[in-house]
Amino acid sequence: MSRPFVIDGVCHPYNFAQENLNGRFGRIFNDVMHSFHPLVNPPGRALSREEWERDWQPQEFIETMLLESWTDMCAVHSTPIYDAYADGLVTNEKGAWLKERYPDRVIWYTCADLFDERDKVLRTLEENLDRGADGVKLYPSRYVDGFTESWRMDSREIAFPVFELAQRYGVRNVAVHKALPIGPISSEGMLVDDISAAANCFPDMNFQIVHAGFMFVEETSMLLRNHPNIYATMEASMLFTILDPPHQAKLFGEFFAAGGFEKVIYASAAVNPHPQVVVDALTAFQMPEGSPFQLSADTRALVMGGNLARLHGIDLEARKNKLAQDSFEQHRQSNGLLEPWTCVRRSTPNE
Amino acid sequence: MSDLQLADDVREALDDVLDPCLLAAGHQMSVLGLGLISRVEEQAGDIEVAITFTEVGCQFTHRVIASIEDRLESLGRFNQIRVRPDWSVPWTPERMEPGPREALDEGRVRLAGRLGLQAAIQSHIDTGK
Repeated sequence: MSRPFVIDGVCHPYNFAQENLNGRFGRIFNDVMHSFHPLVNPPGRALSREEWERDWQPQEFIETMLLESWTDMCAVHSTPIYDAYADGLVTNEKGAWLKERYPDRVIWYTCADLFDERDKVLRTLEENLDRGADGVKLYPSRYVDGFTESWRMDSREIAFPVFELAQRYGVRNVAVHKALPIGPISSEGMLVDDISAAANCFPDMNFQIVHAGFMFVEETSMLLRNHPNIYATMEASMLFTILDPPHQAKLFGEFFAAGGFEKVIYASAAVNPHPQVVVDALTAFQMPEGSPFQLSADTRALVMGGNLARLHGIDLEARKNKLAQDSFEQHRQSNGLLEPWTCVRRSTPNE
Repeated sequence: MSDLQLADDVREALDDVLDPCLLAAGHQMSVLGLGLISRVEEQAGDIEVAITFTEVGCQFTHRVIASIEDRLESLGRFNQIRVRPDWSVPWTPERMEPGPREALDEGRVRLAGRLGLQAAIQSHIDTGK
C-alpha cells in the first residue's frame, strides 16, 4: 500500500525549557502539556521530563519530523504565547530559519501578537512576510495579571489590517487558535462565531480553526458548511485517534458531514507527541461500520496532506518528485525511519 | 470514592473549587466531591496535589488547576503549591463522594422527569453510571 503524502498541519519546535517559563501560568502550561506526553507516546517511547523540558532547536526538530516519521512536509506555526513563555513558546526566528533552510519541506505560519500596538504588529508582520512566511498564526486571548483579554477576528481595527497586509503579500492562509482555552482564560475568545465575518469579508483567504473539535463543534460544523474558505485544523483534537477513538469518529463524522473530506486538516502537535505516533494512529483509524464517511485511501490522503497542499497551491506530484532527491528522502529510502527521539537525544541538552 | 487524608483547611479549600461543567449544568459540585483529586501530599510546608479529569483533554484543565492553586494559596501556610494533572488515574463515577453523588442523581432524576426519561436514567443510576 502506498503511503499518502503527509503534510503535518501544525507542528512546533517548542521551547519548554524551565528558564522560558513565565510565572505560575508558564509552570501550569508546561505541566499540562507534559501530562499528555506519556499518554500519547507508547510506553517506553516517552521522553523523560528532563529530556522533554528543552528548547527545541530547528535542526533537531526538522530531523525528528522528517527522519523519524513519514511526514513529508511540516506546517511550522510560530506562537505568541507571551503570557506563559518569555519567548512566546515558538519564536518567529525558528520558523524563519526553517523556511529559509528547507523551503520545500516547510510551510511557515508566522505569528503576530495582535495585543501589541497596531503599527508594531504590522511592521513585525511585514518583516516576517518578507522573510518568506506562508501564513499567519493568531491567538485571540491572553491572560494578564488574573484577567483575560480577547480580540475578535471580525474586528476591522485589530484583525482586518492584518488580513489586508497578508493579502498584499499574496499570503492567503490565516490560522487562528480557537476552541481550546489555554490558561485560565475566559472562553469568549475561544468562540468561533467571529470567523464568519472575516471569511465573508476576505473571500479569497482561507481561515483555519486550529484545535477544531474541542469546543463549539456544532458552531464549527456550521462554519464549515456555510463558508467555502473555513477549515478545521485538528491540532491536539486529532490525538483522540489515540486517546478516545469513538470520540474522534464522532468529530470526524460531524466535520465530514458538514464540509466534506476537503475541510479537515491533519495536525499532530508534534513534537509533544512523536510525529510518527500520530501518523500511525490516523493511518490506522477507521470510521465505525455503517458510517457514511468511511476513510478511503483518497479521502485519507486529503486529510493528511492534500487539503493543506491545495490551500497553499502546492502541486503534490511535482513536490513529491522534487523532494525525492533531497537528503531527508534519500536517508529514509536508504535507512528507513530512525528510532523515535534519535535526533534530539544525539543533540546536547538545550544545544 | 477516594480515601484521601486531608487537613481540615485543605479539605475545605478543595471543596470550594467547583467543577465548571457541572456548574454550567446547574450542579454545584466541588472537585473533591466529584472525586477528581487523586493525591495530596504535604511536606515541609509545601503541598502537591494530583488531579484527574472526567475526560482526557478536558478544556478546563488550566482553569481548574489555577483555581485550586489560588484557593490553597489563600490558606497562607504553604511555601510552594503545585497542582498537576495526573491522567494515570482514570475518573469513574465511583470516585465521587456519597453526598455529591446522591445530589447529582437526584438532579438527574428531576431532569429525566421533565423529559419523560425516568426509566432510562434510573437504569443508569442503578448500574452506577
